[in-house]
Amino acid sequence: MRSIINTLVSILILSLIPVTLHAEKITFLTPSWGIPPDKALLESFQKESGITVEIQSVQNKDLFSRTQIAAATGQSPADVIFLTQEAPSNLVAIDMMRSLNDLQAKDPLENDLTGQEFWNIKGEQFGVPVYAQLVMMDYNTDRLKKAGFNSPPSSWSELNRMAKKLKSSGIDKHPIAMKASDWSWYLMALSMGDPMFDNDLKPVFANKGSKSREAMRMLLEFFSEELISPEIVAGTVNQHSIFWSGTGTFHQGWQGSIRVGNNAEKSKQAPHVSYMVLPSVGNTWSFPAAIGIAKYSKNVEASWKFIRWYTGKANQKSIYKAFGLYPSRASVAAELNGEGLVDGYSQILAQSKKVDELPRQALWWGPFTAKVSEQILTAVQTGSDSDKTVDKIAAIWNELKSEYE
Amino acid sequence: MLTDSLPENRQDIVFITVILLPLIILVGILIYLPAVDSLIVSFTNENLRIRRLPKFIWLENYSKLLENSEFWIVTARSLLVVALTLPLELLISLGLALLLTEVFPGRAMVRTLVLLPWMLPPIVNGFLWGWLLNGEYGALNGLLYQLGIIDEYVTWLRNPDTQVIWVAVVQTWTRFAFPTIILLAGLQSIPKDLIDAAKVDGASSWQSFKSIVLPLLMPSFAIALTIEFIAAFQIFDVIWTLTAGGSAGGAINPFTKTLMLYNYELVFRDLRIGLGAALSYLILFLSLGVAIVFVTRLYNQAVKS
Repeated sequence: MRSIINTLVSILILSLIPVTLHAEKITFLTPSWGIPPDKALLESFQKESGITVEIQSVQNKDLFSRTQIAAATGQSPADVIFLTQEAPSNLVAIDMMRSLNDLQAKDPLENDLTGQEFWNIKGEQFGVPVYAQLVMMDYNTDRLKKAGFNSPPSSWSELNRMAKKLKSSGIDKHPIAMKASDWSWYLMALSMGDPMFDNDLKPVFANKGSKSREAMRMLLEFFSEELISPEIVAGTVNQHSIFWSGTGTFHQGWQGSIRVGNNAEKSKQAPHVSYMVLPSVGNTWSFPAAIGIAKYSKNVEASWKFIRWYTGKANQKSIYKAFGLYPSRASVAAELNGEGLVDGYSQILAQSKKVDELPRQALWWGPFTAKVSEQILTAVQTGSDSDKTVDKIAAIWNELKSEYE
Repeated sequence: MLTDSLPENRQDIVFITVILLPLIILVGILIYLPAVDSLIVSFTNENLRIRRLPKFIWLENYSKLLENSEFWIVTARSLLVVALTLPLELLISLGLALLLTEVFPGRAMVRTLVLLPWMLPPIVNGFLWGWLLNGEYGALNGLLYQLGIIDEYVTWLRNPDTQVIWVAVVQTWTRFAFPTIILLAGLQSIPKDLIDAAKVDGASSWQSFKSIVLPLLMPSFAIALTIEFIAAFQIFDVIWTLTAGGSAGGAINPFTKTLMLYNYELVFRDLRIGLGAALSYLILFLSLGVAIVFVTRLYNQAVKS
């Protein structure tokens, strides 16, 4: 009997050893670009803190559904969650994330951390910014010169004319790399100077003669005239991969996209890619990312330590170097610029002064923006009228608004 | 033993109950309990985006769906996928089963190769075909161009009508192995004596096939048809990976949206849990209805005859 008890006690002690060795283990749910790119850096964090980080990489849309379903059943899909710009509506506004106010009060964030307000809803902070991105455009300077243009377009109609010349002269079969989706329309409408929504969240984009209507008409024309590759409509490629594979002169990019575009290992457009400040009025919107803690996480302290490391200088630098994602900490951006690593810094600075944010914290923004993409794709595929498409989008907005408000 | 004192038929009942009880409990907990729960949810207005206690609205979700034109459009599209897939799939399966029932060198290897697409997850098949059909660098364009069949590369998935056809082709590719196995098993259960006797009586191969093989194969055919109908009617993975798009905002390609994708949209993207649960039950009833028709008409009649 004693030997049996001894054996059982030994098994129990042995089974407890791994628990004590790795006292704290957290899970991190993220899309692929949120995985810390510098493995050695992550290893050293784990070693120093004693926290083991288990990374679960999923597609962005799966990240939302996993978090939503888990939170609905009162569980945590992971401790730490990477929050992309759709997260305020898809996760934060629907109470899936934990407020970080108490943790921040004990351990304040650095003063140079920009974009915190995007993740602050009704006074509660739900995410610590990781990168601060703006939707931008870049272009191939060499091709534009070949077509006889010395500077980028200053209006959308000029861009349209340039694209047609590039196509007709055989320089570029499909000169515009934009997607048949919500983003392309927002980009063009904001850039043309339309605010799209007023302060009461009324869809002013549907007003008669609005710039948004003009933007939709022009976007659909880009597709019907095949200034944008039909392969994008087929959905087998996106605007970035097609541009970097060599098709396209104008590309919907982001802060940092020319870093990839001018990397000869990744892009056939290298080394001719340069930013342009958006045409016409030139407004854009941001698509920042943050990192937060799931509502039902039981490892809050360890998760906070990881978040502090993740948004620290070293990791932000390695993220920029790997993906060209612009750091949320001003001091890191300045250091990178000082090292000569930020390409097109002056254009980025000029574009950052022209930002008109979209109401992405509205509870219904997630389903709305998905429906916008579906309406645009339908219009592209069926040749529908641009005004009717805008009217349909406005009807969707009003229906969702009345349901959720 | 306690059971020794019971009459024989009661002993059987006790034995069967003891054997089946754990299974019944497991199936009950894992399948029927969630099913009943989701049936209850389908009578409520539960929406995870709205922080409120779900309210019973009884059949409102069902009537909302049945009055919604989108429901009928996606149902029609699901039936179109079935109509395109089933004949293609069963024809290929029958041909292959007839071939594989013959004795030839390397038959075992061919049988294994036939299973390969079925062994791959449908998601892998979807991505694989997505690359094959890519208009810029897809292998299909390369092959057809080199054979001189096309003059310039074609964007195969550009047109909404051809998108549905390609979905049917990939679904056929993914699934044809399963009905092939069922039909092959059916073919091998047909007594060879019958065919030999027909041959002796002067029947041609076609006459033997039409009058002996096909009628005796009908029960297997009915099973294959039922299972493949459900698989095609509830298609998801292939469309998701081939044409659904699925951008970061969660947009779904409206031209290949079938019932299961619509269900995904309602439940996982829009978080309308009540409405989504109601749609799940409508899909179940539709599948069940057709399956009952197939089984009663085809299988039972074939077995009787």
